[in-house]
Amino acid sequence: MFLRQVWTIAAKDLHSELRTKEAWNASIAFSVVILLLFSFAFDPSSEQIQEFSGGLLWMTYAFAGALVLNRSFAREVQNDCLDALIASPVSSAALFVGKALANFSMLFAVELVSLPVFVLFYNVPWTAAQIGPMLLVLTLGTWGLTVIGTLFSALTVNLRLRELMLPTLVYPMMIPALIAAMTLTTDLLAGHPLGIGIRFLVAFDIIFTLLAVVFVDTVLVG
Amino acid sequence: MREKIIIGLAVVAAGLLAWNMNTIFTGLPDELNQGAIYRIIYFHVPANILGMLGFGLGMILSIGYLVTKDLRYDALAASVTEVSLVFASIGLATGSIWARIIWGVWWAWDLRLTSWLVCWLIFGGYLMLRRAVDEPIQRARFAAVVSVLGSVNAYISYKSIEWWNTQHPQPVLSIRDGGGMAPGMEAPIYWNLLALACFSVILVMVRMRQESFAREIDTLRRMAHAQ
Amino acid sequence: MKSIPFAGWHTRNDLEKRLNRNVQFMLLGLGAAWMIMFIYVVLITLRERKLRKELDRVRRMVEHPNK
Repeated sequence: MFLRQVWTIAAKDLHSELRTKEAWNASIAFSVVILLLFSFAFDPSSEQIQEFSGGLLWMTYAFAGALVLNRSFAREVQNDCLDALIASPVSSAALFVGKALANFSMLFAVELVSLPVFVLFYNVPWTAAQIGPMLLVLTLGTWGLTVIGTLFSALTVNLRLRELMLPTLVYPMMIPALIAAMTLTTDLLAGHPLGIGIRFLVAFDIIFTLLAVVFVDTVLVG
Repeated sequence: MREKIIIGLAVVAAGLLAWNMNTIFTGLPDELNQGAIYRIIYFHVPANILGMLGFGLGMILSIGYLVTKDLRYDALAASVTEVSLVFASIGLATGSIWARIIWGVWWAWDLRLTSWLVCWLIFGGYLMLRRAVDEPIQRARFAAVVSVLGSVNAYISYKSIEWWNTQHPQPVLSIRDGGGMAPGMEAPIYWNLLALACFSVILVMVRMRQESFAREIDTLRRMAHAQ
Repeated sequence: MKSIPFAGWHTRNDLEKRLNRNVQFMLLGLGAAWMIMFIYVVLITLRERKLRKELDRVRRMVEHPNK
């Protein structure tokens, strides 16, 4: 029952996004532009790019992701859709997990598309063996960002200063996950195996998913 | 009664501080490797301890609000968090100045400093959020959620010097099974902690009364508009 | 003939400058701590004054509704 609700919500969000592709286009365009701009700031051909390749990539994902995550609950405000959702028999936890899954899919897709662009622009050497660990890091890191972004999207949806409060609250919260993901990615791209940062990322994901599911009811309904 | 408590605490705090400062400056020698600058520890460590404890206490009070729905818990949580933010700022500033001499840089991106700065940003955001929401019950709810989530970061910061190899020194205080300090150098930290704790209680009490003023203003305003 | 400055003098001067800087920064650190505390107390006091004024104003508004 819970899973069916989750699936319905996620499918609804993904359908509505696929129809208009607003957030998708904006995110992809934004991430490509950021990668381009950073390539002017740092010379991509230098050796030192290895040191912050992971950082660059995840900064791009964090910023592009904000576009996706912001819209998550914001799109429900028109026509009182949010009130309808809250009043419906769908539990807040199912609503949250459904939206988080939809956001995760969109963000993951954006990342998969911008990853080759990144590899191209920055001449990142890569091997087939790195793909598996890379996907793992992408999944764990993106889930961390998504969970926090979706919860705070719900929190700030009715605030009058939503555009200001969402980044202010969300980015500091995301920083531990971002740091872990950045370090892991940099290590991977430099050819090292995955370090213990994975354990931190897993712990972060589990803790914040639990906290978010517990608190989403408080945030939406009270 | 309240005034007496505040004055009493202020006297205790001032007395302790004065006596402790005397010990620190006249009784203790300069540290072997660091020279005079190490004396910053007597403000840096207590301020950060109070900050972390305060954020943790704020989390407990926030959960108390969510469970009981009593707005006084929320008011207390806000006051404690705000005062803790001030102590965290003191900790960050003193740490930075100390680092300039010892490490040669004003800031380093090691995990203890970064996670503490993140805490500072999160709880700064907590205060901003409180100002952005007008409705008291909604404000209390949102603030409680942010407080609990932010406290996870406070815990990460506390444990960061144990879990990772940081540029920041490993645990030194003997209560944390640390390396310990030269004889006589550790006790003033705790005395200063006590003095600053008294001071923080005063600040929280003052803040709490301001919260109750604000609540009264709210109620009266509503009455006035209803007439 | 140029005289080579005695190396020892440089070291002692260096050491003194470093010690002085050490003490300076210690005072800076303690000063910063107290300054932050002082600024916060000032902010609290100002807020208290503002709140009391507002409270009086609203109390009067309630007592004399037709003002």
